[in-house]
Amino acid sequence: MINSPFESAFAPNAPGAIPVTLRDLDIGYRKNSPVLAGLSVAVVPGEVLAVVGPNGSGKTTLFRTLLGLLPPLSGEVGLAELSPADYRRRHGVGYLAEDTALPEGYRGEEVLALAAAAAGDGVDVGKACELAAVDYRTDIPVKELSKGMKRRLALAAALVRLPRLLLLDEPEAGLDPGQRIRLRDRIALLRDRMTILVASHDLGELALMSDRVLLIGKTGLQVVEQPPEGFTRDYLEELFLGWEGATS
Amino acid sequence: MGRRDFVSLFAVTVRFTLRRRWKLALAVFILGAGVAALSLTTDVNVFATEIERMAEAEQEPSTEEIEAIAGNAFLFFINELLRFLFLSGVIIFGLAVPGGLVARERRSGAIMLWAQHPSSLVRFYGRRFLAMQSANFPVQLAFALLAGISALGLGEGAGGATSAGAEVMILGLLTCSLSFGISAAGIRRSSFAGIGYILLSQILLLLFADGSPLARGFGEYAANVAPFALFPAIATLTSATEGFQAAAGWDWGAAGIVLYHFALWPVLAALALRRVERRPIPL
Repeated sequence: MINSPFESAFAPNAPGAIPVTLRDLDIGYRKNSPVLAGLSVAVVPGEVLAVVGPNGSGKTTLFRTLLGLLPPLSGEVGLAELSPADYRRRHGVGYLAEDTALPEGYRGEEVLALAAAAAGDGVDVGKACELAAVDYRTDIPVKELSKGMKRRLALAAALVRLPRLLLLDEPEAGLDPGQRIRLRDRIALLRDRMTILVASHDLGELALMSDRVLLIGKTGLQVVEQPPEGFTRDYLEELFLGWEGATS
Repeated sequence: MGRRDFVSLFAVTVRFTLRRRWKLALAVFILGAGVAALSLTTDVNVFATEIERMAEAEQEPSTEEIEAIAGNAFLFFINELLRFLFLSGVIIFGLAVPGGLVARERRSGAIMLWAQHPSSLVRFYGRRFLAMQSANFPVQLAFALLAGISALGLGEGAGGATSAGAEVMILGLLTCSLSFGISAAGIRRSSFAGIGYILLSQILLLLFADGSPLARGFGEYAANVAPFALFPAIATLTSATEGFQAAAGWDWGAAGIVLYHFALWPVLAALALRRVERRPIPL
């Protein structure tokens, strides 16, 4: 368990995680064919909500809506009682995209400097690197980094402002087993100060890090509460296959 | 946004720009140095003067005169070629500084690294553009100095040298703005698109020149609108900077057109970036 960076990462009076409220939400690109319809869920501060669904089921669309980059077709989204666009413009939202696209030609440290400039006041690049386990040299071009290193760099770019809402799309992709364990440990510690939504196909990882699971599919949605014995990979696999069978 | 962050963004952008483009800058500088050296060490105008004198003379030139002119013709050709390459280099360097920056980050999805944070894309890319222009400025200043030295070598005096330098400087900074604007509109190969736009503008402006058949065909309206829609003609840049010469007055019309184009491209870039912010960004 890694814990030293976290004690110092957040000041005792630092603002904490925020609630996320989705009410009767329809999202998508065309009014008459929403990608997700009738989504209602209240994510409590500090919760880790796993978002699980088949490819193309709308996980990334949901994240785009929470980032304020895609207006909802109908219904309400509240991030600490603000609209997603307003919340992002005021406070920023940490987002790790599924495809880690880093700007061409830059060095790692330059990507972080640019992210810090975009993030504005209250940034701490050093802490973000500690939190994202960027423990390698950053003065080399990003094209020379491995996939896992790029993922960690992109995560650090998302954490420079220590956001209170963190959206992770396939965070474990490209990470070796050791890094996956470290990532899981970090998510467990970050949740004290951040509400975290994680989309992933790795049910084993999700079982170990999530409080609840949001199953999404073409024909419906379901929020699954944690059973008394906790989530397990087998439990989630059974749940997912049953859900996929019901919705396909 | 603290001052430290701004300095950091500024330093990153300047360093990145120079790291990517120093070889091109060096190549253009060498061409400019060649032009300046040739102007200082030889009389490159002798060929044009001789041809003019012969055209006015009534008798046929002697064999010696023809041989001398042939020798000067080679020098004239080399000088004109170097000048053309140098001027092209100044334009290409200006266009290459932004080099499709916004479009590349839009297409690759790297823009999401910045879009999750509070700073608006207009503000974020605007500051990076200012930093790029700041990196471009000293390089263009070096090119302008060479152009000025070359003008001195041609005997144009201090005013002529300042005018020539300012013309090169404006050209280099204006092409950087143009390339940034094109890039913000989503065109990755903004340098190539910029070259195409500049060439097309020069051709169309020639065709729209006073008294040309096209100008007569399209009428006064098109001829008046063209300077606002097309990249300024090199002659306009020359007119805009001629005020540095004591004998020539300032051409405020030409200067206005140049200033208009300086403002046009960043404004178009800001509008394009606002559109990106309002419409879904590809993930």
